[in-house]
Amino acid sequence: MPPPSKDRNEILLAARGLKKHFAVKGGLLQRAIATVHAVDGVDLVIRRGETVALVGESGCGKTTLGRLLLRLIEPTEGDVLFNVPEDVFERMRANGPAATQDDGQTKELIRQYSITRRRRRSMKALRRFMQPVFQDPFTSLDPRMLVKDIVAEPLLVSGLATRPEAYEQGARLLEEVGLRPEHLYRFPHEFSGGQRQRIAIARALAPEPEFLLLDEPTSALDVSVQAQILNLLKDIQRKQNLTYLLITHNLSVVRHMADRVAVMYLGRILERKRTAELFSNPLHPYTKALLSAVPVPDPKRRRERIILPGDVPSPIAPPAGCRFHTRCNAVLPHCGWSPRDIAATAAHMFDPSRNPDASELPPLEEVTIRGDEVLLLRYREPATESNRLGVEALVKARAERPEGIAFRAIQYVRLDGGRILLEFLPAKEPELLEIVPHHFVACYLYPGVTSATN
Amino acid sequence: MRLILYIVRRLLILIPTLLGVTIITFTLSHAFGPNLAIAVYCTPKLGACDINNPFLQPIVQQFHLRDPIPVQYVFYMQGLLTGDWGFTTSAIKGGMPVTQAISIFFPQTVELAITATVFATLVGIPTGTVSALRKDKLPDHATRIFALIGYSIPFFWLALLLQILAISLVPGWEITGGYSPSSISPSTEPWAFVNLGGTYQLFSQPTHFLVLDAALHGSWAVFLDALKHLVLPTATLTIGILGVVLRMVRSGMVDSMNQDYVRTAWAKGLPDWVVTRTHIRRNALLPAATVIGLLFAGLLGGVVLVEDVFAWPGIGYWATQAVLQFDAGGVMGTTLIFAIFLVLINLAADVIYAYLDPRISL
Amino acid sequence: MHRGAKAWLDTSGWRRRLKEYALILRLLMKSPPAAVGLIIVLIYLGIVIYDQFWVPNNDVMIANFSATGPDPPFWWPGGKAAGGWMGTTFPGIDLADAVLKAVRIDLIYSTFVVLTGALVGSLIGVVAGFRGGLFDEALMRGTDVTYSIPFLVFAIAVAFALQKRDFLTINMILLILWWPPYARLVRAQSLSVKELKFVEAARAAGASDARIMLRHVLPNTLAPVFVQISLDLGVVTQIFAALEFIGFNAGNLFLPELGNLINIGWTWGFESHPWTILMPGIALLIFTVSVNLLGDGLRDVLDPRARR
Repeated sequence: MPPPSKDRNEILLAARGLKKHFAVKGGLLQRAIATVHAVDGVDLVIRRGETVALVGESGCGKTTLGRLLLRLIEPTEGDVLFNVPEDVFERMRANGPAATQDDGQTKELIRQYSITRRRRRSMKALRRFMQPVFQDPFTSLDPRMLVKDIVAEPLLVSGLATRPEAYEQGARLLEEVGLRPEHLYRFPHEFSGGQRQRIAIARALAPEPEFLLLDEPTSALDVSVQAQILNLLKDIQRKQNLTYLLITHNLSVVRHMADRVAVMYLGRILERKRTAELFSNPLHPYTKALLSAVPVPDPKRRRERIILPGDVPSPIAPPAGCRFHTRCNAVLPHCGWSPRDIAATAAHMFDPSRNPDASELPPLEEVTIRGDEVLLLRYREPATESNRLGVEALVKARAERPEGIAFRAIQYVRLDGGRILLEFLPAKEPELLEIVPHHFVACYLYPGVTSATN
Repeated sequence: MRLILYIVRRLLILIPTLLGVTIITFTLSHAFGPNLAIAVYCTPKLGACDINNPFLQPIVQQFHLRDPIPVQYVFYMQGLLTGDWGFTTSAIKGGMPVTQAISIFFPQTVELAITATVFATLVGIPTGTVSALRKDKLPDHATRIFALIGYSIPFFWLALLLQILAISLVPGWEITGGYSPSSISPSTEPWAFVNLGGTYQLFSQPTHFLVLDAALHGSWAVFLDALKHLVLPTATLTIGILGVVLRMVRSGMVDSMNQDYVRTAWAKGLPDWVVTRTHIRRNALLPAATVIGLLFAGLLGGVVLVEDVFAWPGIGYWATQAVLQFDAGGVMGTTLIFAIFLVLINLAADVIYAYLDPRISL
Repeated sequence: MHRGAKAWLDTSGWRRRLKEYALILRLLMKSPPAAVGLIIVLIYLGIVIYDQFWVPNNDVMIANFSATGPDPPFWWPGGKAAGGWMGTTFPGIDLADAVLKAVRIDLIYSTFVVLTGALVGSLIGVVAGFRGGLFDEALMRGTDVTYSIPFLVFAIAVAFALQKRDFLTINMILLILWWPPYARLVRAQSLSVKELKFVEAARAAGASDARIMLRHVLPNTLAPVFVQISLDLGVVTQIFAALEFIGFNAGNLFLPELGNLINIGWTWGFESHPWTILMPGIALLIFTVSVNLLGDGLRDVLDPRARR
């Protein structure tokens, strides 16, 4: 195994098909009754020396992804690769994202560079290279420890320094983050939020890491302090050539700090691009909506605010196909419409007692969903060919209306043993592809985007 | 429907708990060797207290003492489930089956426990309410000092103290203020003699609840005598748990008085008593339901001591006698019945709480 | 930095911690009931130390079989100087002497029992809460069982199995039975503490599970444990007395123990000599009241909601 500190390879950290599913327990015996797809197949590359920002609404899985990258929790599937040479990484990527398609050689390479397959003990030796800074400085510092013990802990547990050395180092680090050495002999509760966050940064810097995970480092702080902390982080990065992953939902922070941005929605990455280009030319409809909410410091320029309809769907049952299609304003028929998107409407629309246009149909008894592609209508009498034609006409009429986009995804209306069967276009998830050089988007709006193979 | 499901789940959890209790009682009586079960019958005349002693063979066979321990446990469980809880030698002269002893002694303990709980609640809730409403005023201080002493005072000492007070303040109060074997003795027969100032009267005991029996008996003198016997033990237990009840009610009230919805209720001009009753007290008393279980655990511990001091023939008195007289059946029987009683009380408290609090998802 | 500076650094760390404890003490003394409780507890502690080092025969009561009967204290109506401060009990035991000795025995043993229970229970509780899984489940079900038997009844049953009814047995029973409340308390606390971000930060630093449990989780669960220890001192002292009172004094009838003294007064007819049960009982009551006051005060001071 290559000692990671010696050869400093180009790709510091990469996620490859990373998934984390949480079980929801319930019922009489507290068994798993559902699964939360917190992170659901993420590929991400972080190169040495750059700042990558991860943005998205709350609950989209950003924080879980961050914890996975540091192996603070174990992934359900996929790998986190550490310190990979560019050419090796290219070879891994050439083989496609899914682990099932890997040949023996790629598997061997992955095993070599993956930190998620390491044993606990050998993982411990790597921990010093990647350190977190958390959102809430009020819970991220142990209230029972003196600052000197907090800052010295990473050094002591990794055996990098003796106790006196560690405290000396701690005093130096405090000065570096803008505090005074005598602050070593205080408890965290004696500091303000901004000062606490500086202590947390000092602790993260203590073992001389190469990578910092910044999980919303300023969102719990007063606005007046946020800029100070961000500038401090930028200074430190320049001085020590650090690599950052900045998790945030604040796009102004992204513009200020990041080199590249990854946009996350419901456990998937939808778009990845250099910061400046993303802000000037967002491609994914979700990114466009997000960016439209950023205030523009120019009173003459007016930008159209895009308001997303509805709520974020539940990560327990994410929408089929493109996860964003239920809220998208540029949605296409093949974006992944599935029977559950129209089931409620169908129960109304194809029922003669509720919809006068459907008056020639017999009374509707039952609407059944089968899988992601089939919706079945059962009427009181076995359906005939004329019923089928009636339903087909209703579907066509609806599909021509602007809000009937989901009905355009209906491929066939067939008779199925006395029932009427509506078959949808197959729901496939769009793959994250390089549309423009260095600009990755997962959206069917752009030519050449095929469906993801997993 | 969800409530029923919740009760079913709680009952399922009870099974391992009660199984654990039987394992403990079994271990205590069997695992330390066969000697314990047969120790009762050992006298120097019979010879060595030993499994091979021919005189002890009936006992050895009855308790399956030659079988391995797990087999003995199966026999033990079989006995428990079929109502054969063994034989107690300490409950009554000559002994009786444990289940029968329980049917005689248990009602008397329940009588004490329930009377004390009712009194403590009747006194505790209004007093605690007043204390909270007059926070940091004289009534509050008085209540808090009383509550502090109430939950600090040892039950057995309080019992003695009350006896001293009764003797010195009430003319003609006898030292055996309790319900001692000399006055009404527990009996296997459905009747006993009651001693009324030297004259004995035949007294039927269909239920073994003292006051209830006295009322059914139909004699005013017997009923008064029964009440008189009940006063001091009940007073001891009441004072002991009143401290806990007062504290609980007061702190719950003070907490909910600081809530925004109470301030809103005052602000919209509701009358005092409406705010107190419907907004403050209802929310303050909810958490109290969870403490009922703890209260009962303490109460049942106290019952043992109080019954000892007053020679009140309940389960606690019997338990102490069983230990002092090396009566295995008695110890196991009393431990089990106390455990079952407590577990059911806890279950009832949880179910009531879940039923009352809409926020609890079942 | 030179050597001297380093030494200074280390002591100043300890001085800072001491200052934190002094602050807690100052906050405690601000509430009159807690201050009273603390002072009385300290007086009792003084009695223990005095008895331990300056009183001969501090583990036995001095009986005088030729005494005519219990004498009331000298301030009692009809009292004589022979009775002393607290009177005498049967057979000719000076209560002032016996009660002070009994305070020593009761306090030392109850402290020992409570601290051992707190230590063992906290360690088990933090492992169960932090690790979860089968061990946690077993602990919860096991303690459910001990919770479902009233404590005094359980103690009686264990005493029966051990076939002994002396003071040592009481100690053994309490040592066996006194850890579950602490295990439950610390487990419940650990469940919430382990979700705090500093635990994750420690893991990211490479700290082992053992280190995280002992250095980070356990210290942050201890505030309610201290409160519980304070309240339990009173409870355990009462249990000692109660068990001795109901007949666990078989080993040594002259053991100076408050429950034993009350038992002596009770057996020999307290109605004509009330002081024989009043004096030891009051000594017991004052102690339990003061540890309760102290415990309530500690809860107010250590409660995280009340903390800055």
